[in-house]
Amino acid sequence: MNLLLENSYRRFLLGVAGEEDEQRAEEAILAGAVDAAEVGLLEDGLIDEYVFGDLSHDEEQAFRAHFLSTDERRQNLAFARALIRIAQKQDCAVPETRTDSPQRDGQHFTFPWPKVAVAALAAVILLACLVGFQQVLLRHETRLSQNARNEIATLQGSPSGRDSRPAIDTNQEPQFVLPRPQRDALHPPVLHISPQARLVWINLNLISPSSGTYTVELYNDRGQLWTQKLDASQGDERTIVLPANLLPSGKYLIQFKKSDPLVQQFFRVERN
Amino acid sequence: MESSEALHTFLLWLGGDDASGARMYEEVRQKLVLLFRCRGCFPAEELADETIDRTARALLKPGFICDGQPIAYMRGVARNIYLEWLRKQRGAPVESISEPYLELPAPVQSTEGREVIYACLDRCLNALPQEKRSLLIRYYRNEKKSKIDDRQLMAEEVGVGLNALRIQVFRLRNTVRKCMERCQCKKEMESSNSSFNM
Repeated sequence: MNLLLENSYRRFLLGVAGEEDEQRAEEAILAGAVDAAEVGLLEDGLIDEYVFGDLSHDEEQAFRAHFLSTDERRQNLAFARALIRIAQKQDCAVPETRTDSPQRDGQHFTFPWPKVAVAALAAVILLACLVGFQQVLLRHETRLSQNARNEIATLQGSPSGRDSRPAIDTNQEPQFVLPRPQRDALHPPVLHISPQARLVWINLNLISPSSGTYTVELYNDRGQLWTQKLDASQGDERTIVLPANLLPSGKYLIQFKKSDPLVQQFFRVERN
Repeated sequence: MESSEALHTFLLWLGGDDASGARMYEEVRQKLVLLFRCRGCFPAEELADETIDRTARALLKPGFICDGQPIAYMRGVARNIYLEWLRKQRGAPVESISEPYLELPAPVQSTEGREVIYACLDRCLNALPQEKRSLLIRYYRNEKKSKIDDRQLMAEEVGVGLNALRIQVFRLRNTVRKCMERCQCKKEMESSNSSFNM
């Protein structure tokens, strides 16, 4: 951030910016020229100056009347005060000895041989246990992997499970993952949606050789909620975006249709 | 967003298709939150969402025209929302915080609360590697002229410029602040549990 912009921001944060400063500061944020970390740095700088008494009289007034309007900033001020008070009480030239680490001042350091020997023995025993446990885990993983391969082979053999099956992959925003489709409607995958979420992204992987138009339809127990057309010629990987408020807690069905439903997937939404 | 139609129209207006529109949506929202945060508005997230919702509703109105970039239009909406927020705040009874003796308008902390802050801060500072801890302490140790001189000396010792040193300290301070938030939360829970058990 250049000095001109930094000064504009300083005034902007203190609520004393003129029209020109405001415009400069707003444009820089909306253009992405200034990010939250840079603003945080400036905010901390202002807080430090306030605590050290380095602000001018007018700035100090603006700091109290405007800057400290949010809880977050007031907490940061309390934190800065405590930090500065502790720093001024301590002489960092002689660092405090931490109680949980051995003293290593170079001249009076004694090596605790008996303790080291006991620790080494314990480490060897622990390592041996870990190796044994790892082998048990490996055998278990191999068995699971073999079962999964068998299941895939069975699915590939069934005509309805081949080629046209779309896979619902992940949701980028909000941060949750919709698992791969399951055929078990009694235990559908669960989407956790936080209260702050505004959008739900579903990335679809349409594994299909066909062309033409598909329809994605979303239902709950009261009927159809959402429908959207997808052009298969635009590629296999597509994203649909749903407003998060469309999905309260409950059970849903998502269908991919051409003329008949190609595939359908139940899922459950849980609101945190 | 009231309707799926409003969302769809908004996403198309932002990004040309749903996927790019949704990516733009998140970017724009974060920028709006930062903008409101800089202005000292709270809760910044709600005001950012209101800006988006109001823009989406405007898009559905017949005869909507926007010649410039969507972000420029939203800046205007955000400014109106800020002015409305300001009017509302001024209308609401606010305690005066300009009295000289009310130096800190933070909630009054009990002795116990202050003890928790200092205990947590001590613990969190001790959790830092010695070198980083000394850097942070030394950065805040002095006042006035000696502070400026010492920081200049520190920057030379570390082999960076003053601004780079400031950024290093900012990061360290954030680490300690986050650690403190966790520590205070834990302590508060412990104390509420113990008073509950009494």
